[in-house]
Amino acid sequence: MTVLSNIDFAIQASKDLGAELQDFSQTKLEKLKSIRIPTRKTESWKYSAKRLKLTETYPQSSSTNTVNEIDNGYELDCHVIIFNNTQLSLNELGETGMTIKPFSDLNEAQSLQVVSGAIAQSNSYEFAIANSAYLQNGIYINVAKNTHINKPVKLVFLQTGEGVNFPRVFFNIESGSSITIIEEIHIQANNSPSTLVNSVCDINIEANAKAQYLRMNFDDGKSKHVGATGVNLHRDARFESYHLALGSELARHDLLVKMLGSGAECQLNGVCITQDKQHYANHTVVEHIAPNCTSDETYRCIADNEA
Amino acid sequence: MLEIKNLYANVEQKEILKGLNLNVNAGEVHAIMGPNGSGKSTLSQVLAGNDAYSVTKGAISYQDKDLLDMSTEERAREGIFLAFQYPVEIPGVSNLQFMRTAINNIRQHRGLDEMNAAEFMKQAKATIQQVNLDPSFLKRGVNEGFSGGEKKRNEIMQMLMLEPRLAILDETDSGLDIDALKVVADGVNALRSPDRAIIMVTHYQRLLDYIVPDYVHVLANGQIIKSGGKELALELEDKGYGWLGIADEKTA
Repeated sequence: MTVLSNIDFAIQASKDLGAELQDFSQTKLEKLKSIRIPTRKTESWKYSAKRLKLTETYPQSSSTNTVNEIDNGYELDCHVIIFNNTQLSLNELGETGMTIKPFSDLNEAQSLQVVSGAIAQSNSYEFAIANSAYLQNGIYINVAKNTHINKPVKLVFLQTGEGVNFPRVFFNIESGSSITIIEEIHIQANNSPSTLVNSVCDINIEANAKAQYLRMNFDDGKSKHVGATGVNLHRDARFESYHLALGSELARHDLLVKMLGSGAECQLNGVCITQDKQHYANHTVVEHIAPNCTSDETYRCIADNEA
Repeated sequence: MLEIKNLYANVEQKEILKGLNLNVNAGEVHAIMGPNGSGKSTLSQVLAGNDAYSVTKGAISYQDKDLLDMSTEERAREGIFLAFQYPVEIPGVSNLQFMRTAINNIRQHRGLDEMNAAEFMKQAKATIQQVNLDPSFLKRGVNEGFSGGEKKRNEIMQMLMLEPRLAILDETDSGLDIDALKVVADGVNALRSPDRAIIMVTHYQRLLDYIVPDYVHVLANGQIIKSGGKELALELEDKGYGWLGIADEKTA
């Protein structure tokens, strides 16, 4: 069991996707056959690999779980989209200037946008490749030009019990617009070793637009989740990221920011708290591709006991 | 106040301005728009006297004097101010030191006494609040650790303190959210007066909702190809640059 494609995640790429996304998924599936399961000899996994403990097979995630009230200790007036195990809960959010579609409803141009995402284009993130290879019916959100979205959009990746959840989201923020995105991971593994959330969120921020991105996890501290967020920043675009990372059995976040146009700016902030024997791995990559861009990064980490 | 005739300029042996003509009178606000690589920032830099740019042909008259005969410092003393598109950080030089030195240089040139420390502090504190920056920024290095929006507001603060005769704002609105844009616009509007001219280089129409220009010019391929009022900016926002026969975006 040396390559990731040997793992039976009990999911297949969605058949409801258009040709472009199907082709993309197929390409990544081929790539997956050469991706080795990370070990301590894999540079970017050398401190985390021992915690992976992937099982050879994963059971099908139950789709009968109902969504109980999600308690995360704060109240906020926001739009909520829930990825519940393998089900997607998508309602009309009623916000002028914002379009939300499942991947299955995308036209060719929109599908190609999804494929052009920073994480989608990369072959550096093992589990993101798996997410692409078994591409589920994700969410596409477009914010029209010069639109300020007043209420944050909260994505909840919910997994209860055993099984896998591979949520996928793509944001396109058109020129001059702004939005706040909140990403929450809620896992109740119930001590199952066969629970895994593997999420990918790609954000494309056009000229002079802005996105604030908040990411946090609320799980039982004994779960496994891997996430990747990719950001393409165009001319004069801004990206602010705030990450509250609470330790778990295995928790990893890859953040890739590509500064494609002059004047782009990103501020990456994080607080990471681990205790007992918990783990969290934050990996950030900022690519200064265009001149005259600014990036700032502040992560503060507290590790208690043997974390 | 400013008369540009048939201006040709190049940088790194590449010709950018190719016969540009522009007249700006005192009291007027001119907006210059155009696709990437059209020469907007080059025009700003040439007017300010950046010696990385060479003028190969043409003439620029400023207050009936030959601008091209003046050094960068002379132009600044004569009241030309440039707000940079990408303001640089100068660690080790505080905002206070920087601005007080600049102000006193100009005052000396005009035959006025230097501003004393107390008077300067009072004015600086009032002005920094006008641009919504914390007074503690005065003691920090110029733009050191400032966010993009803070750097742009710092440029406006400098402009308000220096009270130039000709203010050139090079994409001061780029990268600003709406609140910062309003602060910048309020600062610029506060400086509008019959004896002062403002040239705003902008890539986005949004600024012109807050600073209403007297004239809008489209710069493309190193020349001004169309001029009009504010409605021209709205037309460009709606149609892009294609209807004028130029590509919408070029790499700079």
